[in-house]
Amino acid sequence: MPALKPYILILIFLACTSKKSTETVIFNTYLEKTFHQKIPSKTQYYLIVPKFGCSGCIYKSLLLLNDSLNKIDLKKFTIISSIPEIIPKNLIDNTSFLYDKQGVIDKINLNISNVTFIVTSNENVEYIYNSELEHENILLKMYKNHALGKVE
Amino acid sequence: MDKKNLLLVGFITIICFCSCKNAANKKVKFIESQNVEITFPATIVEHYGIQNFSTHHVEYITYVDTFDISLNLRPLFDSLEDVIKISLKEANLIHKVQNGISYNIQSLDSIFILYENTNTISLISSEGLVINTWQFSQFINKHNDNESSYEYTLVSMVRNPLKFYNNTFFINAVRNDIILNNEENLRKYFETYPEIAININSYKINHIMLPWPNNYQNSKEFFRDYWPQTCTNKKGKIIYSFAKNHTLFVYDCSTKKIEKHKTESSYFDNFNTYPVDKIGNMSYLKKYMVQESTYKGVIYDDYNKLYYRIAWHPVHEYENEDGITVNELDDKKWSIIVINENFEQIDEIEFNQEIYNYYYIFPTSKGLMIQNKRKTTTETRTIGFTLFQLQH
Repeated sequence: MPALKPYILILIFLACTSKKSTETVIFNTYLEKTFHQKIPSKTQYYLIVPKFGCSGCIYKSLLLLNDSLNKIDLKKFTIISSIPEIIPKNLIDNTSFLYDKQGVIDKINLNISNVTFIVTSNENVEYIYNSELEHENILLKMYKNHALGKVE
Repeated sequence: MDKKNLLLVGFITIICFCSCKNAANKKVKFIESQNVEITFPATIVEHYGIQNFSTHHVEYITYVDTFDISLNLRPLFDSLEDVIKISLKEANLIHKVQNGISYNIQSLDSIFILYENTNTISLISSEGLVINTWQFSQFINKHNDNESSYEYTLVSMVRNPLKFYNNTFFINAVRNDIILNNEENLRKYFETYPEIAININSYKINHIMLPWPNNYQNSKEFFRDYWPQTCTNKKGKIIYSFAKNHTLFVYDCSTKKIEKHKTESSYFDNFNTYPVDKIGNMSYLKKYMVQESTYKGVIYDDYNKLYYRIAWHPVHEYENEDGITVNELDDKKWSIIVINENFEQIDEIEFNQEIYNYYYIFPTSKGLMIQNKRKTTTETRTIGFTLFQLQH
């Protein structure tokens, strides 16, 4: 598709000039195009609930987070999903929720599967972590460690 | 006419000839006839299976509603009929229906319920009365060794349901004594015959002598596919399809003989393996599933006396050219391989994956109902279908 080539060049240019990681460029482009938002300067925790994943693991991760609502700083939390029906209402009500109606989140070229945790700060993606089968409770642990400055 | 024009005319003639020849080669035509939209209650559990069932007079779509714990039969085309509600409250006293069930409707007055993870099956009537319950043992002898046994769970799912013929259940028995995360356990798993037959009078369990296909048993190859896919015809035959093998295996429940029939999608030929060390890596799995060829099940159409094998085509490039997006499972093309009663492959029809979904396909008297994504609305629990009339 030749029409897309200038777009790719712009992305490469942006990535090179601002020394931003590919993940940052992709995630920022996604936030801009889908929600007219940008990665903020302040630390932000994005919780991605994608369509693809082990449904049992996603369910367990979400229940665990729901049970831990009083232990986390909800202002820093944004949930992004195209399938809000599987997310406990409590979580949606108490966090900033972005409903991706078009399901672009399920197609972006980032390492997203199961419940995925994206930490951003200074307008950059710091890291992306997705929970695997045996690590359902790791998200909360990661969040707490990061919030306490224990994760680099 | 100069040479250039002559060449052009010749070229167009050849193209027309080839297209006509291809059209003439098509032995089966699927002709869109109408759209059907069904809105389900918010409290249904799709996981329990939306199925179809027909009596001599009425065709139904069936589903479990957890709101009033009932099995519902909703008339498909005759809107004058009411939804038939069969209460599962009595069955719920045996094992919690909310924990998961699957069902097999033999007739309106004879419905089998398998309670998930319990190895228990109940027979219920149209009034919801539990007529009988079978509790099967948690252990089964190996097919080739009566001295040693393993723990198993009876599993029934949409593409491999609980089957019943001549007082016998035919069902998938999944080993649950091993964790499938290393080569040794995978070898054990694929050495075990996947399906069993249980006589409802004697409780006697026999293995169906159908091993996993050869390519599954090779300890160096692993496809991350753990369940056979089956359908039954009206003559007591079970048709087995495996996701990563071209052959169909036909088991005759009366003679216990197995026939092999090769049916092959023209869109792929080989199956790439899945690395054992990537088990549990969901991102890798997603890419593998998008890029790999797979058979997604086999369906019997008693109205047309045809079998349909669903072929899910590989996507060769995972990342899109925009650099921002990747292909997902919904982007995979798919086709239906049409097979006649003699298990001869007669055609393969590709469907537009942007419109049609292979997940819900129901043969009906008015044609083949295939889920239409554009008519499906998650928010209202509406599943849209397009009805295709077959010409063959």
